Formats: sequence, structure tokens, C-alpha cells
Amino acid sequence: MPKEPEISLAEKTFVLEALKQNLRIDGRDIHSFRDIQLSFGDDYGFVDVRLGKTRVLARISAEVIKPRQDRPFEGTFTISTEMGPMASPSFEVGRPTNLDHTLSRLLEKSIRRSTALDLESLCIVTAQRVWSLRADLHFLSHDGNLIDTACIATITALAHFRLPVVTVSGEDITIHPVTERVPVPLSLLHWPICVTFSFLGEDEDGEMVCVLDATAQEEALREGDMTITVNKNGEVCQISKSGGVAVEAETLMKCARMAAEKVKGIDKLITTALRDDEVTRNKGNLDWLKEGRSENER
Amino acid sequence: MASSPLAPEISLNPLPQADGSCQYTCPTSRTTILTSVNGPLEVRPKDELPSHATIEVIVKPGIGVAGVRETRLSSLIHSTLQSLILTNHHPRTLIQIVAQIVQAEDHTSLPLLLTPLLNCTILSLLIAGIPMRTVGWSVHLAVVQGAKGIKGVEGQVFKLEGGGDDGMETEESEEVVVRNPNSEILSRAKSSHTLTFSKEGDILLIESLECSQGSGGESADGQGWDISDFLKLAEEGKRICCEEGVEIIREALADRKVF
Repeated sequence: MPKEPEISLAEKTFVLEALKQNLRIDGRDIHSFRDIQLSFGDDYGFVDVRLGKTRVLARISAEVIKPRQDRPFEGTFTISTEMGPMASPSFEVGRPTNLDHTLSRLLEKSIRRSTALDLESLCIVTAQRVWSLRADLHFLSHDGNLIDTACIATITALAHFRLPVVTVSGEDITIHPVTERVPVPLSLLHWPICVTFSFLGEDEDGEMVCVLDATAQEEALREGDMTITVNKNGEVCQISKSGGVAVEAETLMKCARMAAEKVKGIDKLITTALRDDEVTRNKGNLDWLKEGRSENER
Repeated sequence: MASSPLAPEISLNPLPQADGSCQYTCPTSRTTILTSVNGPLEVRPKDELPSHATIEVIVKPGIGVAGVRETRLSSLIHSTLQSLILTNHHPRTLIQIVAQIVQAEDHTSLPLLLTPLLNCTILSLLIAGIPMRTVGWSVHLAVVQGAKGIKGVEGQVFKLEGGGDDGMETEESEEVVVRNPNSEILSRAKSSHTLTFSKEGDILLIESLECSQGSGGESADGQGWDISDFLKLAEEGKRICCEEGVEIIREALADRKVF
């Protein structure tokens, strides 16, 4: 399979010299994200996230299974991140790259292990039937920062997803179709969001240049990277720094603080997008929407 | 054509990184497919052909990991494209096609996915500038008994006898053909056929998937369909592909000066 073309020396010097003067090739501030565009599909739990030229789709699906013997009260949640040549010809099917491994481990750590999703709420009948949720991530276009985009996509899709209502009477389990009963949202305890910092050399004062939301070009030139997952309450869920250039404790603290601030903005953006979608989805049908809420009189 | 309810929604080159890409939404079933084409690329030595380009088709499902169904779809697309692409123009290279099922009514139904997949692939090949012998278009036709009461098929129905007129009154028991059926219509269909014709009217693909058992035989529900009906249906399919299909391609590519 073709390799990504290597960046020429002239291009490399140009990008790095510009960064030393706090300038980026695309004209952004070094600590700003590209515009995040969220769009939703016809069904619940399907979201299309665009971050500049990077584009990731996430789809949540649910099925009823028998729970694991050792965890009879818990449903399951899996995240599948398979990259194909659609994102970039250098990704091969069935041969995961380093990025593939890093990405799936990071999402695992950030979303699953930080218990963003309450697995016990997915239980229908103890030791008999539970919901099994699955998040499929499709990487359509790769222009850097796949990790943050994938994380935003997964969280948004989870928040957008609606689980069909289930009624249990004795042995019988009835799954009500969406047309019959208003489906319910998942119980998400918090929204962990990844922020990746890329380190590209030192500036004139000898301070490390750390860039947010790196493009593919910047990713190819970086000396190290660090991903911090924070939720909107400012709680750090995980920090991942695997290899690369050494980072001072001070820089790390600075990054963590910056991540917490960025996540607040992203969180707000997701909330707004979800609310807008709900309004358009229920246009002219607001009674239906009210019926699904317990706070209204019946 | 773009304003017609029959016309699919086509967006060309949605992926800036690929050589050619296309997003296609079927007008009735809302099946959305995204394909990207890269090529000619460097080929893996084991797949290299001395005097032809290797065509690789990867179908990625919307839910779960690729399995037998996706392999089946990709082999059908592969065999159709094999006769369209001029592979001898780029020997010892790879033409890589990735099709992603973005949205589907039924992620498990082969016939509902095949037509959008084929049309989308052909459009993205044109965008990518891959040399082709001719263009093709695919249509999915379902034979339904009494199309009355089916919603959302206006203008998609025609009679088998004596050609059809869109939106005409049909008898309850009469057999009609529905173009690009959605899963609800497909579940009521006696048989369903995916037909692909080239611009010149040559048959590229005939698949009577999931509704039939082999050659001119019986549909899965045992009601059967006979060869004379099929021939009439194929004639109509040919008309749709050669006239309307080609027109859709022409309009989609109009500002790109491909034709």
C-alpha cells in the first residue's frame, strides 16, 4: 500500500519556523480548534462530525443479549474503530496501524473506563437479558486529530441515541417499537472529551510549542503528543503520553487547564447541536414530545 | 431531473482527500452510500497483474464488521466494474474503491444496498478520472401485487402490460412493478430484480437477490415469476437505465465537463 508522502525539508522548515512565531499554516491561533460541524442522520444515534477536512461518522446500535456470567447486572458497550483506505490510502483493511491501536485504546480509556455510560442501566432482567450497545466509528477523511474527532463523535452519538422502551412482565419481555412508545435516552453520567496536544519544537524563548487540533501535516512533523480527557466539570479522566519528547510538569499543568477550558466550549456546542436537532425532529409535533416527558401533566 | 422525486440526491467529491468520491441517497428508501476511489495506486505484489490494473472493492457495513454479506456485495460490484473499467490502461497498478454504507433502512438487505452502491461507485469512478469503456446505471425493480395503499411510491409504479404510465390507477390484484422499492414494499414483493445496463443498453448485471431461487424459478414465497414477465421487466429496466440513468449522470456531472 502507498505510504504517506514524506514532508520535504523546505515544507518542514517553513511550518516549524512559522510556529515559532505563533503562526499556523491555516491561519488559526495555535491554541484553537477548527470549526466543529455536527450533523445528525434520520435515525437516532447517528452523527457526522467534521473538523476541517477530518470527517468521522459514528453510529450507535443496540441489541438484546444474555449478560456475561460474572457480570449479571451489566449491559455491554463496545466501540469499534476500524480504519479503511477511505480515510487515507495508507490505511489498509485488516492491518491496523499504530494510530488504530492508539485510537481504540484511548477511546476505551476515555469513555468506557471512565464509566461515562452507566452499564447497569442497560440491564433488563438480571442474568437473563441486557442491552448490548455498539458504537461503530467510520473514518471518512483524515486530516489530523482523528482522536478528538472520534471522541466527540462517540459522545455525541451516545447522547443522541434513544433506547426502545422495554416492559417486563414475569418472563415476558416486550420491546416497544419507536412508533409505539417514545424511546428513552441513555443514562450518560458525564461527557468525557479528548483534547490532543502536539509538541513541535521550541520557540524563541525556549518554551515548548504546543498546538491544539493538529492537521495531518502538523501531526507528521510533531515530536510528541499528549491526549488529556476531561469532562465539562473539569475532572481529568485520563492523560495519555506515550513516547515522544519529554514534557515539563509545568507544561502538563498548563495543558490540562487549557483542555478543561476547551472541553467546556465543545460541551456547549454538542448540547446546542443536540437541542437544535431535537427541535427540528419534532417540528409541528410538539405534543408528541411533551407526552414523552414525565414532568408534564397527563 | 434534479427536482423529480425519482432522482437520487448526489453530492460529488464530499471527501477532499480521495481522488474521487460521491455520496448517493436513494430517493425512496433513504439508503445513503459514500464511496471513494483512489487510483491508480501502487499495488501489493501478490495482487499485481502484468497487463491490467487490479480493481479492489471494499464494502464497509454501517453496523458491525464486514462479513459474508459485504464480501458478496463487493464481488458483485467488482464483476460489474471489471467490464466497465479499461484496466489495460494502467497495468500493474491498483484501483481502490471503498464503499461505506452510511445509512440504510435495513442494513442486512442485499438488494436494497446493491443499486445505490453500484450507482455511487460509477459516479465516483467518473470523478476520479478512471478510464472507462462506458458508463452504467443500476435500477432495482420489485414486482408487487396491487400497489394500492403503499405510501411514498408515487410516480415509481408502472404496469407490466403494455408499458406504464406514472401515477395511473391500478386494480387491487394487478401486478405492478415498483422502482427502487423501500423495505416495506420489498417485503410484499413477489420478486425483485437488480438490473444494470450500460449507456448503450448492454446488460452488465442481473441479480434477483433474496426473492428468487435460481434461474427463472420461484420466489422465496413460492409464488414464482415467469420468464415473460421478467423479459418485460428487463425491457423497462433497460429504458430506465439508458435514458433516465444516463440523464442523471449527465446532470450530476454537468458543471464538471466530463462528458
